[in-house]
Amino acid sequence: MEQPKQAQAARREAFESLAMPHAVRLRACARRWFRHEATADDAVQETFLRAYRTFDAFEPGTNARAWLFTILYSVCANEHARARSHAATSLEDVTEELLYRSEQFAPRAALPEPTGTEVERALGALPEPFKSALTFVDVEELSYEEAASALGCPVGTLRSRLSRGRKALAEKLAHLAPRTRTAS
Amino acid sequence: MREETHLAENELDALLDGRLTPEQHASAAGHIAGCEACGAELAQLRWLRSELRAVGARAPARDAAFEARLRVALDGEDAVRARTERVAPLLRGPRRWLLASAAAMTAVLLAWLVASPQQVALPDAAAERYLAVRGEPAEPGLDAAVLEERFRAGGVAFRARVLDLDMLGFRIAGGSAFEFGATTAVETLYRDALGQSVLCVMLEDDAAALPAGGERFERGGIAFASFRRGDVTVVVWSEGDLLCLLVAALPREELHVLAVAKAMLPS
Repeated sequence: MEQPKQAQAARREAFESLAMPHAVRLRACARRWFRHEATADDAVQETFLRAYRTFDAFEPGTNARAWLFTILYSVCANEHARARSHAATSLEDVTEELLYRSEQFAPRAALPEPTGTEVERALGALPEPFKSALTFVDVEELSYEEAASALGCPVGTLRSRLSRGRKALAEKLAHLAPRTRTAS
Repeated sequence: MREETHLAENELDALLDGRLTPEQHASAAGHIAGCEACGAELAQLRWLRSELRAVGARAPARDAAFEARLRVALDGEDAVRARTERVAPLLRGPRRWLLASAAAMTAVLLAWLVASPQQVALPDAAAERYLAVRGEPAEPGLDAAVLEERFRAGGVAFRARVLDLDMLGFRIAGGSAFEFGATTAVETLYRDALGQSVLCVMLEDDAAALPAGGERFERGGIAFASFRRGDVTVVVWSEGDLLCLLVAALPREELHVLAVAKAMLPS
């Protein structure tokens, strides 16, 4: 009976040493998506549980961070779908529903004022799927292939979302950008 | 003339991200060198990316309390895994507990029926109830649909439901509705191949307030209260005007995992 216990302890230790260092960035990312701390923390916890359940299928040597972000994205998308599945019955609910439609991953609680730098706020206000593309590639520095896999889209689609998302964000933040020579 | 055929946006992005072949890169770099507009656009993209990378780099420091919370969740997962590994071989064999008597479980009024469910005595009464019924013989062939129909036939007017604990090896062994005072409660008894029982009790309560005391925790926007009575754990949560209890002589974390997995936010 000791052997399975030891194997389970070793598995647990291996998982923690691989996953725990990424908890901070997963949490920060979830908070950018949800802008609601408790919901974001629940999403990260669920990400850890799902990752732990499927840890045996994780290929050592591959990018653990990309693997965890893939799960996080799935958890967040499910949470959003679950939040939306609550029937809109009152005028307040309908208003809430419209808010959800305006931005994927909207929080289920009332929207607090966005925090962080102006860049973070502008990124947070980008519509999906541009926000996720920029978050994975530019903020979390995943490769195109890893980000596309996490988002469940072809690399070409990701490239297009990146290009359009960066353009939209650059326009929003043009007043902050260092002056360059006038474009002809 | 080169300035009139600017680089496409996706070419600029590919240049920025180092996604061009050496030949494409040389060609694009040559164009940038002679095109003020594309040079300015690339500079703007570089600035934007450095700002976004700075956002990632500003992630807060490691949070020991949050990591502890994750470890508690993983502890629960370990407990479930260990349990599943213990139970799985038995589930593949003869289910002796299904051979038990088909006699319907006798509905006995709970000691706490006359008391307010918000009172702290509720966990004690639930634990007592569990100890009284956990050895009841299982009803073969009983499923959720039959049991829910039994609840309705018993006069249950609220949205009582039967939890599906099958995934963890717990099968429905019995259940009934109880009339008490102005309201009604239902209970479902589950049992696994090892003979371990779990009791679920649901009752309608306008306030649906959790009993005072106990260990409090919150998952997915739902508040739970957990009580230990001897080797019996009682977990309570509310779903709107429904008060739900899971009771079992299981490791505390294991029952917490079951409760968290099955609790629902009120619709």
